[in-house]
Amino acid sequence: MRESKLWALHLFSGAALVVLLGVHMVVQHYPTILSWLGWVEDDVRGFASVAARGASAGWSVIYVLLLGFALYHGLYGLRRILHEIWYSPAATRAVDAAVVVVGLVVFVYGLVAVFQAIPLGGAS
Amino acid sequence: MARVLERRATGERATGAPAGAGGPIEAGAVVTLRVARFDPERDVAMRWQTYQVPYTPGMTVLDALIAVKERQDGSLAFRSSCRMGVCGSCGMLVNGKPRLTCQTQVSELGTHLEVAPLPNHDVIKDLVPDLSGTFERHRKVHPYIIRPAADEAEMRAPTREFAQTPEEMERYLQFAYCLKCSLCVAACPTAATDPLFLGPQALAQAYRYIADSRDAGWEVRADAVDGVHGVFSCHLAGACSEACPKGVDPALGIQLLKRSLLTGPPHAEPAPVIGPRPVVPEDPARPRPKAPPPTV
Ligand code: SF4
Ligand code: FES
Repeated sequence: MRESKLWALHLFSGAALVVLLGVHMVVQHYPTILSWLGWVEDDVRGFASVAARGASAGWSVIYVLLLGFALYHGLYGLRRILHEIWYSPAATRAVDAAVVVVGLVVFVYGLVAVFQAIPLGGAS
Repeated sequence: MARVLERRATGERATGAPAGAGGPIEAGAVVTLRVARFDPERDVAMRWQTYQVPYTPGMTVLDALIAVKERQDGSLAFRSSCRMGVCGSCGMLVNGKPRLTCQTQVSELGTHLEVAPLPNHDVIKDLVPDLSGTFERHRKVHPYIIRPAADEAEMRAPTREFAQTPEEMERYLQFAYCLKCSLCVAACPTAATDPLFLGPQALAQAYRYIADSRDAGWEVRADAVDGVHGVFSCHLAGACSEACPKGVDPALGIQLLKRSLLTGPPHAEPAPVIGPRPVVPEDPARPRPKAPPPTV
């Protein structure tokens, strides 16, 4: 794939992270802002709240998007740095392959964690 | 590879060299030059040697080096040609900055000068950098006007002009002033870590040609610059634009090139040939005009 496409996705993932991390920060750490928005919850970081969010399809989508964009954004940045340090064609190919494998493994692991939370929340 | 890396100038400065301060210098003052020396047949690493030359009003750093070579040490190697900031061959690292030595007045820097070869280039000898890498990367971006196949006959034996408005010329004009002196490459932090990076000189020239309304070479140039060591390796440090002695802004060219790769070429169709085809009476004895080969 052309570098411009990967770079454009890097920019897009950065913008998406600002939104998704903003949602995460407000929900988890800024109850005052939540109350301005009319969402009053006693203990947003308590087990019941976390499990309920884990069981919700909407939150699961947010978690998966957050996982995918954060992984892509971070690994793309790491790949660019490594390409600058190890610039031989063989090293370039090895770094690309390693980044894809690490990205896929962590993404699948994250997906499993997200979907395991659904029955947990459903049972509570 | 090991040998090449040993010879790559890194911009290392002599320890304890006084920085020197610009300002008027009295006639009769002495200019002290700490000069980097490297003879590939004798030396394993760069060494420093100090010379002193009498200052003369209007003296450039190149004049001071010529005075050393003529009167003190004929073995000192450096490169120059036009002595007027046109050929781009006299670039060196002077007091820590890449500069054209024929354009740098000693009075700008003071009486203590430290002169080394351009960083990010292999060293041929002493102050002579190997610019072949810059020229090779320049060639990779196809630095000439490319016309559609239908115009091939016109390109081989031109009979008319290609239309271009002054506004269209403005889009690339500043980039056309590039001398290929490679000072921008010497200043570039990405070129310092990644020798395969196409570099500011070649990338700015890629933009110069794709922004030219007469050009139809978007596809081949996009292929050349849109790779792992291409335009997206630029960190936008801006050191290239600061170093350029001709007022070219390679960092701007690189950003415009990135934008073009994301949003599409600056123009859809290349400018057509204009003007009536002149009717030349057939004269078998008249030699056919030949197009010159593209200059690189
Ligand atoms: S862009 Fe400027 S510094 Fe770079 S090679 Fe051209 S003239 Fe020299
Ligand atoms: S000698 Fe030609 S640019 Fe300096």
